[in-house]
Amino acid sequence: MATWLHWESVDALVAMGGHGIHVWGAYGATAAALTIEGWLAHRRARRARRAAASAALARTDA
Amino acid sequence: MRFTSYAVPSRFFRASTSLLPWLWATAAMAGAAGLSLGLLHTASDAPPGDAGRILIIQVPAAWMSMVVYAAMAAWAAIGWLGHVRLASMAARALAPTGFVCTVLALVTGAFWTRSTWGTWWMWDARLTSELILLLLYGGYLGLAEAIEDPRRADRAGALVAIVGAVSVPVICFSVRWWDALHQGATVTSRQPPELTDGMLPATGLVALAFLAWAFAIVFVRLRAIVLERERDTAWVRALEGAVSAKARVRGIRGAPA
Repeated sequence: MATWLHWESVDALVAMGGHGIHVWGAYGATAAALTIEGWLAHRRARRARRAAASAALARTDA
Repeated sequence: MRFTSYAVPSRFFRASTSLLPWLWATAAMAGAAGLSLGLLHTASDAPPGDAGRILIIQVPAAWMSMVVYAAMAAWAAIGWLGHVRLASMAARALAPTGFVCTVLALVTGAFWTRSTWGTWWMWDARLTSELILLLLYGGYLGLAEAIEDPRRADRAGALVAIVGAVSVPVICFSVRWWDALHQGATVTSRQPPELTDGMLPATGLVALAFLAWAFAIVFVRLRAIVLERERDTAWVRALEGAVSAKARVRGIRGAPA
């Protein structure tokens, strides 16, 4: 690996000095939680926008 | 324009439109820089070795769980006592983000304790008080969602948020007040941090990323709440009417002849 990296190999990076399962488990859980929260917030925003737009359109048509 | 003018939902909606891209960009850049510094470029020779890299995300998540709760309680109080409707909506928008930060603090903390203490959970003062914070978030969210009338839901939620605010200093000082296995404050001005040299700036960058991400997510959710509650107001009708008209024009232009 490049010299500016702390790790000598990808295997060493994955192993994390024997703590790999805990370190990567923590990072994986964080990535999953942030992704799900972002998706839920955007889904709610999309639905609110759509509902407001159809209400506005219904009024215009009326 | 006075700062308080942003308490008007329509002004907040317009201001947040221009702020959101900057918040997403800050979160992405600070997160990438912090994770690359903490995971790839920094040695972690001091005890507990590489398990210490969990703290790069655990510490900011724990900070955010408390900061978001304090903000939620403050906005809930302003909304309730000052009858500022955007403040109540802000409290509602903050709660899910605080809940997620608290879950992350506990889950990543469990990986940390498993790695260093040999157990996933311990009824330690800091861990237990953080669990109580999670229950408070859950109680606030459950109560606010259970009441149909938004104003009554805001008032009931505000009561829970304000009473529960006492938990924030308890979490902060729990390691000083009680015998705890949990280490003292990870970063303080009085003593050198427990984090090794490169880990401290990495943690700072990830904390900045968490903060920018929390602002962005809360703004997205708050914009949705504003639209849901203000659907029948003139400014939402005008805003969405213009958007719908544009979409129609695009549809007519794009339709086959």
